[in-house]
Amino acid sequence: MKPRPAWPGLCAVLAAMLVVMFGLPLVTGLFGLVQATVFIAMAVLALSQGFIWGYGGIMSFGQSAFFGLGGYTYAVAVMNMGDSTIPFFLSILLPAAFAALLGYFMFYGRISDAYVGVITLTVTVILFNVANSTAGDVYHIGNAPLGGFNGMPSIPPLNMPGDPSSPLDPQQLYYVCMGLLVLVYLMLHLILASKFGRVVVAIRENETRAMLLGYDPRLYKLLVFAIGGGIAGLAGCLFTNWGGFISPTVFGLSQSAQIIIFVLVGGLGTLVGPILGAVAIEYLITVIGSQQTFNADLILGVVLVAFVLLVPQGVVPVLRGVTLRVFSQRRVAALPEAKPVRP
Amino acid sequence: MVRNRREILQSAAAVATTVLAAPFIRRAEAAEPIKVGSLLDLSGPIGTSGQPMFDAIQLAVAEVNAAGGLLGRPIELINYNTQSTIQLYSQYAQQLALKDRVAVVHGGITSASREAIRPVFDRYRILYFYNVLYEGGVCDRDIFCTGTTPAQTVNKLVPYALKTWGKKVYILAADYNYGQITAKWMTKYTRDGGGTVQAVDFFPLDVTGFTAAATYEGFHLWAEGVKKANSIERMPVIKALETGLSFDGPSGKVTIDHATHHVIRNAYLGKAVDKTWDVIASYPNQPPSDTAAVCNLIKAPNTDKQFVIDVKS
Amino acid sequence: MALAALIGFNVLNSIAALVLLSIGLGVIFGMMKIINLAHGEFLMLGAYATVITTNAGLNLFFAMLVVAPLFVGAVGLIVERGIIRFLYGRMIDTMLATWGLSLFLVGIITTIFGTTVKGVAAPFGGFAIGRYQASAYSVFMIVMAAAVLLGIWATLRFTRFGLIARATMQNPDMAAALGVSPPRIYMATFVLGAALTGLAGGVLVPVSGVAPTMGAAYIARAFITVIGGGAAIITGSGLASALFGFIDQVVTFQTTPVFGEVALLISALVMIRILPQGITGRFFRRSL
Repeated sequence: MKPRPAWPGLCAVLAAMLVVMFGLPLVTGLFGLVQATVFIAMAVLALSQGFIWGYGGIMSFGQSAFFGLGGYTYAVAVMNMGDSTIPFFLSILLPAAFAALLGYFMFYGRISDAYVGVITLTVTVILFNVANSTAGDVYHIGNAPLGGFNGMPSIPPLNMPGDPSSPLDPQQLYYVCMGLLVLVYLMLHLILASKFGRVVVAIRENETRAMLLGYDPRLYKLLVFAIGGGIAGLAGCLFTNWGGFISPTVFGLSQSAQIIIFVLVGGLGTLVGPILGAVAIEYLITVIGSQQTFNADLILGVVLVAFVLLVPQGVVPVLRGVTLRVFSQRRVAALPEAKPVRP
Repeated sequence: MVRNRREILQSAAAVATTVLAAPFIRRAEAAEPIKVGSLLDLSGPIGTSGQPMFDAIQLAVAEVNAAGGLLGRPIELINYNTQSTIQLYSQYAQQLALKDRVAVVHGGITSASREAIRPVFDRYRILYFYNVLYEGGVCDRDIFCTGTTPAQTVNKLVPYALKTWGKKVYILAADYNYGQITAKWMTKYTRDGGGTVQAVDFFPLDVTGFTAAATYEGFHLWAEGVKKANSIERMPVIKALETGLSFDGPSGKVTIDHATHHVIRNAYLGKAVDKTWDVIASYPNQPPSDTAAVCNLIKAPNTDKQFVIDVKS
Repeated sequence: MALAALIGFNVLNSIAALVLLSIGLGVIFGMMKIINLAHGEFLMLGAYATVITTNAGLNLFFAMLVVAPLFVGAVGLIVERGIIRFLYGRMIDTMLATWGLSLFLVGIITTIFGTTVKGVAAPFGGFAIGRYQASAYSVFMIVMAAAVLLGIWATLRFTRFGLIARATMQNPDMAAALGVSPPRIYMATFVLGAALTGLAGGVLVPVSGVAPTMGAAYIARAFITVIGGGAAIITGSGLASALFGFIDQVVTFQTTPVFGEVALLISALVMIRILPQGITGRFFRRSL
């Protein structure tokens, strides 16, 4: 049977996204759109983690490394080139290339799954330490001072392709971000529905069996990891555009942990889950900071522990289960999102 | 302990406000409040520094409200806890600018947090006060920096240390911008004073200590600016502050310097004795000479960046 | 000559610190294969217990050697019964739950005690190695680290509990068939690991700032030492601490502490690449 995407589910999600994309500006002011923009950037980042972990079985504790690399690449490139077109693509390609290199180091070295997490975590801590010590005039790439701990402020935003004199305003940036989220979601969905995607999931389910069938798991994992790196880099570029600023905290441990939390809360093994998880957690953190009664860490900690004990598979699978039971006649989803093997 | 001090401050402010404001409350309630924004880390590693600063600004706001508010209107403090996260600084800065539409923002602790929000306030035209000691060099008409910079403190501290303890100096600093620049200043002043620097070492960044006094003074300076301009609009207040307004605070007189948008303030050399400060020497009206070397907003009012001050020794 | 002695002394000190930091995590990971991300916060709780009781008048050493382990052990018991017990076998879920726990602990300590607490000065003063000054407290730390390693070794090797623990580690089902209850053993080891971590937190108080967020600085290093060490608790953690501590100190001495930390991390990366099961996955396989 030739693989095909699960059209009903896909169309529903795409429709919902397009409604939000064009409907949000009608119901909320400039602040709402600016706020939404950073949530969308985080959603793209969560998608990268959800893809490589939920479908590829690669437990990366360091997607923030590629996120930060994408952001810094964009910042350095746009400060040197003026026009943002090439920097935009560089911010995707450079992290993807780095991910490919790291992937080669890890997967062709037959590192076991648990240690992939340790290695990626270590890489992100190294990058954090290196970025932090780039203070002083010595550390600059062309026109762009790296700034060390203070970061790089006033980064020029994306402009209309080829025309540096017309930068995107916040509303246009929102449309670009939302549009890119839709595109990335669609792209990942199609990848997973293709033969490549089937093999990737087969490798996740049982690597030895896939090998015996003639597929090279190392190559597939490398490609998945590289794609994930590129998407995280894109998220980094969008994030940098939203804030006009980047600093070494993008490489931080807590950033890495947050990405994992997005995926777990939303639902590992789905694509919609990470998106919703990212938006929900980011929104929760924003609300927590707006009140002074309870300590922020206290609330977040309780929420996390409660989630793990009560809803461990994440929100989306639970909702999906409920919906399936309601519409139990239809046979759903040719999309291979089954239960991921959790160590 | 910190907890008790916070409670005492809060209850003192509450009592003061109630007693003094009784006759004014009626009138103030009728007028629309002036919104003042505050961005501080109240949790996470930098929360140690943020909490006292939050207490200080609450006290300052309570004092101003007890005296009848500003321009006959009460001050409403809108504070967001940035949880030691730079992303939240950018987020809440946008919220203060676009949603809450505040008249001024006091906030930012580390230089990184300041640099994250400075462009946001520049873009949306919100007046911003950065009330923390830092490495100097910010040159931006939309911001006022009331904290001390190395030239105002280090150049007094080093000669005293050389005189009291000898000419051989070992400099230990945190490995980030503030630490490195301060180390350069210390090296310069050591050599100027005839000492020798044996070694300079940097250690990984942990948590550094900042003061809350500048927050208190910063808020009052802004209030003076508003009174003089008779408005809370950004440009009139900036111009009023640029005329060289002063405020008499806990550390003496603090005056705004037009050219740098930093402050001229008193420096004190003190020894910690038995949980109090024993003041050994006072240096009144120290100008922000390090920033002045690179920044002149009178000649170039549209500058808007942080210069890295080159320390020539 | 004196310089070499000083460097050697500092290397020993650095290794001792790593041993103390990671042994608690190693016991828990070695037995139950779960990664406790609240490890740094257990350290913090041990430190707080020590500082609070010392400042209230209790003898410093009693506080750090008795009160801290007992207190954090008790906390460990509550955590194990309340959270970990439901998540055995689910490594990712335990990581997430313990991450939430770490946030919760930081939050509750901040709420009760505020963001700072008065520290304790290092006792014993200093002594001279040739022209150089060294801290006598470091000697105490080195002795403590050795004592802890020896104590655990002796427990595993000579006591009945140690025997049961080793059996459960090797083959839980067989141990169960022989009448041992693995869940009880897991509970006991988790409490032991927590108590050891509390002890480490107490010992570290005189050389570290005490704040609710102090745990975050140590978690990455402890984590990497344990994973790099491999399955054997003592030999693994011991060897890994020795290797990483040595590299860190030597590089720090030549350059800066930041580079020292980066060197430690890079060497950990390379080592995991060469020895994917950790040091004791290949060498000293049957050791404790």
